[in-house]
Amino acid sequence: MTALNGILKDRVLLIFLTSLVLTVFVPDLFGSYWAIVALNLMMWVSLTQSWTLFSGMTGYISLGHVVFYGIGAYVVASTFKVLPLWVSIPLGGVVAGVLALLVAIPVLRVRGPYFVILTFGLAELVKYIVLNVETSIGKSSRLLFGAPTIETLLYIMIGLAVIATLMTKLVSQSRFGRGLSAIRDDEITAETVGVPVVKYKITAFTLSAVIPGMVGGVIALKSTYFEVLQVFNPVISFTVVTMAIIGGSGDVRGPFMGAAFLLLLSELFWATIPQIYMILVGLFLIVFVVFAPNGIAAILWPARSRDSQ
Amino acid sequence: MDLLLSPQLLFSALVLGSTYALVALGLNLVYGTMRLLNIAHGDLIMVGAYAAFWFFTLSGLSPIIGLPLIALICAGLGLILYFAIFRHQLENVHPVERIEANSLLLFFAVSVIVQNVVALSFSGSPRAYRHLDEVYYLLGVSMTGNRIAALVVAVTLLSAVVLFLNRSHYGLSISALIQNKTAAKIVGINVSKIQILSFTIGFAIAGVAGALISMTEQISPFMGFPFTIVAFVVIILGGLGNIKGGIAAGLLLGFVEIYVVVLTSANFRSILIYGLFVGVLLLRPQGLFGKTRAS
Amino acid sequence: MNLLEVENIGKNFGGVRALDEVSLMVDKAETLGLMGANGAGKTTLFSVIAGHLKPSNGIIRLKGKTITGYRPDKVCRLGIARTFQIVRPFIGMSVRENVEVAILFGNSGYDSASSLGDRAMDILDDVGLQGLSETSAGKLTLSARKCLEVARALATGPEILLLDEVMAGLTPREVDDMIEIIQRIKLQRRLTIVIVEHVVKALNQLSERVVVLHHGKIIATGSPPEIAQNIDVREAYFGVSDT
Repeated sequence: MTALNGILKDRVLLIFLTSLVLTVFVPDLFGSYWAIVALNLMMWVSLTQSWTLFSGMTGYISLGHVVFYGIGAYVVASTFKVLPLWVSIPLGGVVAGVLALLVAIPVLRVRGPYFVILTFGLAELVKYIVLNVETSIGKSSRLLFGAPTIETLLYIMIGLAVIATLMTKLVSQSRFGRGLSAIRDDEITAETVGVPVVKYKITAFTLSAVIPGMVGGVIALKSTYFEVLQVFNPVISFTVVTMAIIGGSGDVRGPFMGAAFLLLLSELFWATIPQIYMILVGLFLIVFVVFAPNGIAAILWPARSRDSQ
Repeated sequence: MDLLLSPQLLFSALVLGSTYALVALGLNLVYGTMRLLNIAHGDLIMVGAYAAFWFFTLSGLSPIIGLPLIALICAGLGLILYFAIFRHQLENVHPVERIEANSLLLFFAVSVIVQNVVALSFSGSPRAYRHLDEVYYLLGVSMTGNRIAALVVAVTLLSAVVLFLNRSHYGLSISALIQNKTAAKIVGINVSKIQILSFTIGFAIAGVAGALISMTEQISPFMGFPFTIVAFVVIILGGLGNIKGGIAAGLLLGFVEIYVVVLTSANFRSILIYGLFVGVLLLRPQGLFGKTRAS
Repeated sequence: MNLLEVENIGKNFGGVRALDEVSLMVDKAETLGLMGANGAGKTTLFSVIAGHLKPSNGIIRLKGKTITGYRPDKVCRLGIARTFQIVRPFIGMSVRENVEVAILFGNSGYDSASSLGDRAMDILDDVGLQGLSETSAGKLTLSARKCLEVARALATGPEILLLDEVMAGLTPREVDDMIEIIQRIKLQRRLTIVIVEHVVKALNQLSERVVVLHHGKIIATGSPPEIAQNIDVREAYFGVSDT
């Protein structure tokens, strides 16, 4: 409960969460175009915060975050009009969590760069398996008629962004979070001083999969159709990693800064010349990895980021 | 049974396998000497393929004749990347785990940039060209000229590289560095010079592989990734940094893929490749044919 | 009853027998010295006891309970702490934070009654690192890093401390300080210590009993003076170049 007390006293966090919640007024004040932009922003904030919960804290960089998003979308799309959305969206989160739990034990034994490429390969493998399943039952894409309005979906997504932020913050301030940071610094030393490394890695990996599972479901509803290659697109993983690194994962505002920054770039270039956007994303990733590995947050709020490291 | 033993199928498997061996060879050189996993490797293959396409389309230059030029382009790209990005990592970043993680992200960024620069310059739509596509019959096998050429070039280049690594001064230095970095330093090998050399050779070989692939397959700016994965599967199967093991594994994968596709359907190709990829990483990261050299 | 029992432990690496039927007993509050040339199997034995390596055969018991094959974190929480010959601090954390992690996760049964920071400072006091508490662990000198290894092991609240060459590379002055620290913490906390050390003087001064390993086998056991007289040991250990 001390962690919860800490949260209530954390002014930066409260201001940040309040501003996330204030996004509910965007549709009324600025119209539906900006409602979609706000929805996208909240989606990336949720995904990046949840990525930080595992990869940011343990240093196990996952390039396969999209798999949880895709599975959540698949659950919602394949149970559309069968299950009510208040069941199917959380179910997407649960299924993503279960998938993470199942693969965690073998996957987390692999370390370093092999873990990174393994997560990527695993996400692609799941993509092709789902694709083959869908093709064999003759459903290469599914239309989702009668999905909720953008406003409703925005409210759900804001909720997910707030939960994702709170989860990451709570974990980072807890004993659990201390253990994860110890794993990031030196896994052998961590287990030598009693950190239950296997249990902690599996728990963090599973927790970080739940939010993207639900986000994927909401986004499938937003686009009103489901297409395997689109919801399992590795570019989504790449974007999440880039956002987390550009923003910095030492401060709750980091993932938000990263998401907002890339979204701004995409607003400027995606519609006209998407390749320019992708090239810029790549260049920014290089610049940040080489020159500012702790991201925008560490530049804007240096002391604070260090404290929460 | 007849189908499985048909010389036609064997020929296809041999062509594919030798291409895979070549694709993986470049990655293995970079990994072996620098311990960096280059996930942009497939994109260099794509660059080689585009270079071959444009030389042929604009000036009628046969990719076979143009191979040195294509190799030079990719080698140049490698040099630029090395000096612009990776030298800084290798010299200034500690510990090794940090370099490895950073380099993966950097190669990922390079991959995205290269793909999109090519897509921006030449559009994202697939292209192909016809060259040496006359059919020959040999021992009852029908083979097109370009596939024979690809096979001959791949086998020649593979043998040349193995000879180079076993016989020449620089080649032996590369082999020594792959075996043991500390020992290589002690016996007076200039590690960073040899790393630059193998980085460049690795990129050049990728370019050549791309040129060969462009003669028989459609090319597109996003064709590279599957080749990166194939290369990883091959070098992990063959033992990371183990050059000969990698060549054997490349041939093996070519055979496995052709036979799986024939026995099931082409839909399973991706599942096969990614399944093998995940499987080898989970079960036997030290490789099937060799001991791990990663310490 | 013996606190720690090692019974017929063997460990193979490929074809190499790193440990061969090693058996030893450690009594409560005893200090046992482990001697042997490089490659004799001392660190391997520590890794097997601490759970970093699984033995090929044999049994390890703590207070009569079999703990063979337990994961390192579980072994730590049962009260066995080790240091590393090649120091492994959490380089992204300060000295104090290094110790705090060990308090939070070790055997000491942390409760929030006393402040975590205060308890970490007490331990840093004991090893003489109080002045460096806020320094990043990556920036310490070798001797401070060695002290941090000891402090972090101590912070897990162990009954048994496995010290792996904590004096290697230190100046004679620093060795004397370290001997004094180890003697003090041992008395204060009634610790049982197993110590691997190449500095023979330190080993003799600290140990009540010495075990000599040679090519993975125990070739002698006895008090420090007995060991010094032992012919086998002289040939095997002092005769072999000690690098």
